[in-house]
Amino acid sequence: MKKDAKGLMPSCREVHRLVSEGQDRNLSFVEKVRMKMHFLMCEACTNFQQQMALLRRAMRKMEVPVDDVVGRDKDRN
Amino acid sequence: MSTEHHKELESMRPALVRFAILHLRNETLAEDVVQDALIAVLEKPDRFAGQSSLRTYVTGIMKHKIIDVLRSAHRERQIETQDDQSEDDVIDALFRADGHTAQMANRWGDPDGTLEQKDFFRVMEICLEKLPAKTARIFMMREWLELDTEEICKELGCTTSNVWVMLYRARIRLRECLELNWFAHQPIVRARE
Repeated sequence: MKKDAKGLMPSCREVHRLVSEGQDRNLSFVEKVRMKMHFLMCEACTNFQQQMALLRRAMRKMEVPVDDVVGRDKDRN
Repeated sequence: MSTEHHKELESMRPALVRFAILHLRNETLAEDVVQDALIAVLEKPDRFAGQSSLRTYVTGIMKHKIIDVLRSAHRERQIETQDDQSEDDVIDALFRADGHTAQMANRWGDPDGTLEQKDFFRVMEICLEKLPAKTARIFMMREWLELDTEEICKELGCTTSNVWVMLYRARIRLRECLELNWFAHQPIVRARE
């Protein structure tokens, strides 16, 4: 059902999914090794992993949009 | 609490409602959440006095209120939990038939620099608004409310593998939206094609 190739060398398709799932569950030892092997030779997946890491940090940092409104109000008064 | 403080809080209301809609995708519930949150702030002004920023304080209260509403609203079937349609091709579109990426993922440059920019977060909110409702709700529960997959499944009644796929789709969509509307316009080192 999964379209990930399960050959010796993991595909980008499999690694992208592992990068995402790795943020939501503990990956198995084998999954981690396959992913890291792939990063060594694939810039696209390495960049993707960094993008996902940034996305997570950004979401954790996100606060309610309050200062802007208060700021605008002060300008008006 | 002073009248001025009261007014200041009241002026936040529209922005807070907009923000709550990002999570709940339901205007009535969003307005209820904000109402509860503002009352909570007004009831405990002394707690705020010790906080470094009103924004951080209100953010914390909003998190609690949104979790409460997600829990009760699901039980009362006030929020839609149907799977989002037209989501199937989001992942497929990234890869060629042999499993390679169809396009090189770009480097996004210095993360610390990015996260210091207010405008980046504005763009991110717009990108979050564009997510389909259920995908957005699950993504916000995972990434902003920091619930784990099991808790999300318990609240929304879906399987863990389903949640993993929905989170993956949400991330792919957000990445594309941020790439297009933010990173493509930033002077950063581009990856070699």
